[in-house]
Amino acid sequence: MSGANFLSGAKGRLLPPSIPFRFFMAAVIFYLLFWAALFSNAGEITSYIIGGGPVLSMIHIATLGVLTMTVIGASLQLLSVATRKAFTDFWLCRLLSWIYIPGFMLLAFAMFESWYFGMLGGGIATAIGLVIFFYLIVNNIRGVQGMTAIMQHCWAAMVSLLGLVALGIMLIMDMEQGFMSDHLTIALSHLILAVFGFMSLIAMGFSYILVPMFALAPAPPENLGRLSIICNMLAIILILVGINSYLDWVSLVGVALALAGVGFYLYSMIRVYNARMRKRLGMPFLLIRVGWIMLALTIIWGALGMAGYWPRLGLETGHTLFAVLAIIGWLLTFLTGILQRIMPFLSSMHTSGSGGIPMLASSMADVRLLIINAIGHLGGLVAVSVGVILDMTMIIEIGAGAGFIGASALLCYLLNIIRHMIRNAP
Amino acid sequence: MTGEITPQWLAGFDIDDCVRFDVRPILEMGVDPLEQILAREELLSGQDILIIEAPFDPVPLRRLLGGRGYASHAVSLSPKHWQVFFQKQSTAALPELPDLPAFPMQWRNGILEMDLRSLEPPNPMIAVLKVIESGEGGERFMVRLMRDPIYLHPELVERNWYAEISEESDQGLRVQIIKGNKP
Repeated sequence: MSGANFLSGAKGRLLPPSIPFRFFMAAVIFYLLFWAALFSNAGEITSYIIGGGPVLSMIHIATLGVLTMTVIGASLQLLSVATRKAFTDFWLCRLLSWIYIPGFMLLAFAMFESWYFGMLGGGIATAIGLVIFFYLIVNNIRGVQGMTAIMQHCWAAMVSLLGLVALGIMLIMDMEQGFMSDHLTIALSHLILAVFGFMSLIAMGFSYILVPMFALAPAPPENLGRLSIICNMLAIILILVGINSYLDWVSLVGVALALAGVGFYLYSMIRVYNARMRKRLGMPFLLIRVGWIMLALTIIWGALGMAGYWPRLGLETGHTLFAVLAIIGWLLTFLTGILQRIMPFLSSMHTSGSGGIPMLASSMADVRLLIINAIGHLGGLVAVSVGVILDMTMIIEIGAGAGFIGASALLCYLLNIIRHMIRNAP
Repeated sequence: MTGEITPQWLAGFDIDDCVRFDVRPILEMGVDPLEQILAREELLSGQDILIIEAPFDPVPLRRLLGGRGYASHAVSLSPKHWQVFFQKQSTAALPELPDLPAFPMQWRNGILEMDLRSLEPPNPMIAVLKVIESGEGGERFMVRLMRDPIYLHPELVERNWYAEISEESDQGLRVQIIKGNKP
């Protein structure tokens, strides 16, 4: 086989670039919209507990808009290479985007307007999209030998996905029908399944392969990954049982297990980081490392809340800070770092420089845009957190403005990458 | 079985011609058998094969002897009984990769060959890059992989190396890793 054919097998396993990049583009646009929505509704977030309106819409723009879009794009592209089972149903991947992206846009708009039938229609379309994603992933990971810890994370995340979709649709219907005896507890269960069961577990699972790959370090011992997923799965189950049966001690045991699970995960990531061959990891890893710190803070803050220490700050503020730490601090920061690293990397696999060799990722776009993105994002995170603690709308607005500027830079970066990829298509 | 793929130097060997040493009773007595193993290693000549019977995969020993130019291969006969085969390779010492799980590696006709098929990703990529950066594999070496090394390629380009698949079968790929720009 000639050198020119070297990548042909690999490329056969890569999706057409338009598939992952449509999800990345949607993620970055929603990332921009998220900060804009936060800027416009900064005064409402510290008093929000439940119900339709801009804050509910904003939370879902972050979770379903930015985080899930990123997860879908990255999963479809990376899993097939790791499992050696190509996604051959390109039409299904495209159908997923055609249903999920507009469906979610309708859902977000309807949530913003508290428009019930829009929420129901958008919610059902979004749910169909997520079920297609579930099918694609489960079909790919079924029967895979090896990579046990990563596969366990994927399976747990997929089960959580089904649970959160079912609860999400029920919560929307309950807004009109009022059949739930405790809407708030079900909403909290939905949040836990979404943020920790689905997004966090899939982010942690992919970390075991992506972080060593990008840092050029040996993969961490698989036992650590297995311990982490066992603790985290038990934690989610116990917390769900605890809050739904109003048994605080069960939830507290769950939180203790979550601390252990996150501890194992962070320990293995620190091992990878310290063993890395690539010494200069740039802006993406600054965000990834801050994301890890925020994950630890999220769990500690959650544990304090369970132990009853939030009321000193105010229960609503405590809840809002928990959501800020979990969604902006951990997931958005971590996945923005992954996006910063993965977009040029994947695009280099789809370009062809001289002799059919992929182009260097560093030659594709101006890395100063990534610096602006990181500064804006981290500045936004700090200001929004401080604004929430002090209950000062203006500081939250400043943070949202910084985040918006950072997100704009990431959008420019992505557009440059896509332009470069089109120009240098093989 | 360990999941390691049997290397070619073990094909067709006669177990009666091997030097066998069962360290399990020694370990049960709480004694370190390293000195006795090294004494037997010094008795080996030519293409002799040393077989160590151990209650676990002795990865530190494999690394130690790897540094002395021995290729190794481990087989798990039961959870508490491992057979590890060692054979001196004719050329330079094998690269030491202490952060990675052990895998078959040997020199053949002056070319380093590494069988990375038992490693989980991204460890095959890391093994290749570590050998490149250590310079111990020379300017051309061969690797066996289960997966297309898709994410390795940009890393090779950044280091002014490239890869060529020389064989592709159900058993995986044989890939040459070559210094320089792709012709």
